[in-house]
Amino acid sequence: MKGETDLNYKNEQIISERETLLKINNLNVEYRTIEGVVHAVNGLNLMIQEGESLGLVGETGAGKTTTALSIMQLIANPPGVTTAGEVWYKGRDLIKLSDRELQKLRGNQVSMIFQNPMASLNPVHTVGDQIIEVLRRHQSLSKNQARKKASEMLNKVGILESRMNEFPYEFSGGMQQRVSIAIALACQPKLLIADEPTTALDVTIQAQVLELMKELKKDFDSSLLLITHDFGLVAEVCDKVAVMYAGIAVESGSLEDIFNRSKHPYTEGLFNSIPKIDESVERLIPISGLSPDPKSLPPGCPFHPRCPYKMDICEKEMPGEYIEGEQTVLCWRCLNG
Amino acid sequence: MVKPILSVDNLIKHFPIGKDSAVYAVDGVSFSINEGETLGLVGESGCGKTTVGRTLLRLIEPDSGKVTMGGIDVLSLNSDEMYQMRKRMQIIFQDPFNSLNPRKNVVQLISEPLLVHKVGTKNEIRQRVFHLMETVGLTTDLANSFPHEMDGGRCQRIGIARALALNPEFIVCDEPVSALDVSIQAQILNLLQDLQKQRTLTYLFISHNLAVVKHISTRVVVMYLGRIMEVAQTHDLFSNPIHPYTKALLHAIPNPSLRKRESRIILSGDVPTPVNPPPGCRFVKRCKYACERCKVDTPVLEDMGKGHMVACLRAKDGIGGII
Repeated sequence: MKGETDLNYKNEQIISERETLLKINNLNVEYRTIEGVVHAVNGLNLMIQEGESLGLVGETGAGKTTTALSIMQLIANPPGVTTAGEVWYKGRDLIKLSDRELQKLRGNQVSMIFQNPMASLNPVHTVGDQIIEVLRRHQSLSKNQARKKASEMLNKVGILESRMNEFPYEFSGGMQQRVSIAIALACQPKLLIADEPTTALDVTIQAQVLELMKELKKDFDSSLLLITHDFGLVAEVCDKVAVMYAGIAVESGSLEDIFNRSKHPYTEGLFNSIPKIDESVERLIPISGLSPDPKSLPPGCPFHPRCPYKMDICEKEMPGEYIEGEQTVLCWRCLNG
Repeated sequence: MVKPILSVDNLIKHFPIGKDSAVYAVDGVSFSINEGETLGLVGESGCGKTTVGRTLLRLIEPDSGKVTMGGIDVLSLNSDEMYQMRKRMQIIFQDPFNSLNPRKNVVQLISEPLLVHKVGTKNEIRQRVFHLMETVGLTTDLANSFPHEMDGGRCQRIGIARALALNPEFIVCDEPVSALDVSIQAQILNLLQDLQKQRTLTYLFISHNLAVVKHISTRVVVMYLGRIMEVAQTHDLFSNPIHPYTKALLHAIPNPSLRKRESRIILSGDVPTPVNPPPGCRFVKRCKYACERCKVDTPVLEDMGKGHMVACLRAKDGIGGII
């Protein structure tokens, strides 16, 4: 066990010397709808290093999926508009790239696994063809070569080659998600975005899919952005964590920072409200109130109406960054000591 | 001395598909629930959890078996008697949006069970509705709101108020928090616990989330493909699971803490379909301790001490020391 800890430490060092793969600066995305402007992402900063796994955690409506889609530049416009910010990927701002350049990146260098595998696979094509499609699109392979590589990919995700010519509906949910993983990883992307990849799956199947994602990520040396509402998943898979609330990352840092030394009242509240399998508490401590309506966000810190430590300044002004080592917290309480 | 308020004996429900096959949704399930306790019912999707919950209330008629509620055989009641019985047993549904009529406002929704059972005058009903709203933590200004104007947590509070309206003794909670965000989930779990204390309610708490079940339950039943695999006091089940399926299930939960974990048991293969299952133990295909006998003989629940019941042929011979 001790050897493993040393190794982890070493890995961390290597990672810190590695280059930044993705850097999101002050991203703002809004959806202009008939009912009003939905402020989905409001000045988000994120960073992913090469080979690193970042867990993006938050509740429904926090802007997690919008963030993922804006990295891929897949936000439907209208209604979605990126009003400000930059998404730097390997020295290029993805927001400024042309469609043609983006198409070269998507599925090739940056790829995505979606929450609901049945809805993200094409029901009228065989799974084999869907893997071949991405290979032929990005790599100059002949039909036969692509076919061979697709069957290798299926093997890697634990599906028999003989099922190449079957359609998505012939697979179970867990198997479909394996197919999605095979498609996403076929071109060995540098960045894999997984948006709630196991939410639709049962726990025993989730464990299989997670194990597979971890293995392949290591084999291909990809970075991972894992979007989830489950801290358990993050603890299993990620090196770093960012906690999102009302379109901003209120706290980010290493696993230890967030799990053992969380500073933001929202992170603390989330941990207090989940029942844990290895601890017993008489009563959970929920976060009072509701998540804010992204159409009319409160002024100042968006968490202040629910925050037990609210101060006067919280209602007026958005807090800046409080930085301690790798940990970044957006909270007046930290800033004022 | 605790006495069972509800007991279920050899409950069977098969849904036929075509002429000669059937989904063996519930296949010989027996358990009892003591007064004032919360019995957790866990299992993966398709294992028959919801069907069990619904057959208890006869929302689905079982094929055979016996359900006894406070000494009365529920399945033999005629429709008038069942109508009276429903005052004593209620259900909270999983999806708070789809289980509420979108065209009714909060007051109409909560007064519906009171009107159906003709409890008091219009004024009395209105008063009771406002009292119920207060009980479940809905402010009075929401009285005229419609479900689409509210978030999942509030809708679920309406669902709870509807279930409580007739002062039942027993409530089936069918995944009441799985559609909710964690911060709201904790609010609803606390509400359910408070109500249980105030009104000495008995719950059957159905969930696939083991951490939630551990938090709220007194005892836990683990189901797999229509059968019960293990029943035990919550603490015993989580600290000393005996059935290989329960062990694997507990191992599969991602744990939100950084404590070192033991090497994980990861089950291979998918959950087999409950259509025409073969004889023997239901778990045999995914069990690494399975022997020839497991493919032939059907294990029955046996007491391993202190009411810890396990349905595993190999549990008795210790499964080569794994227990």
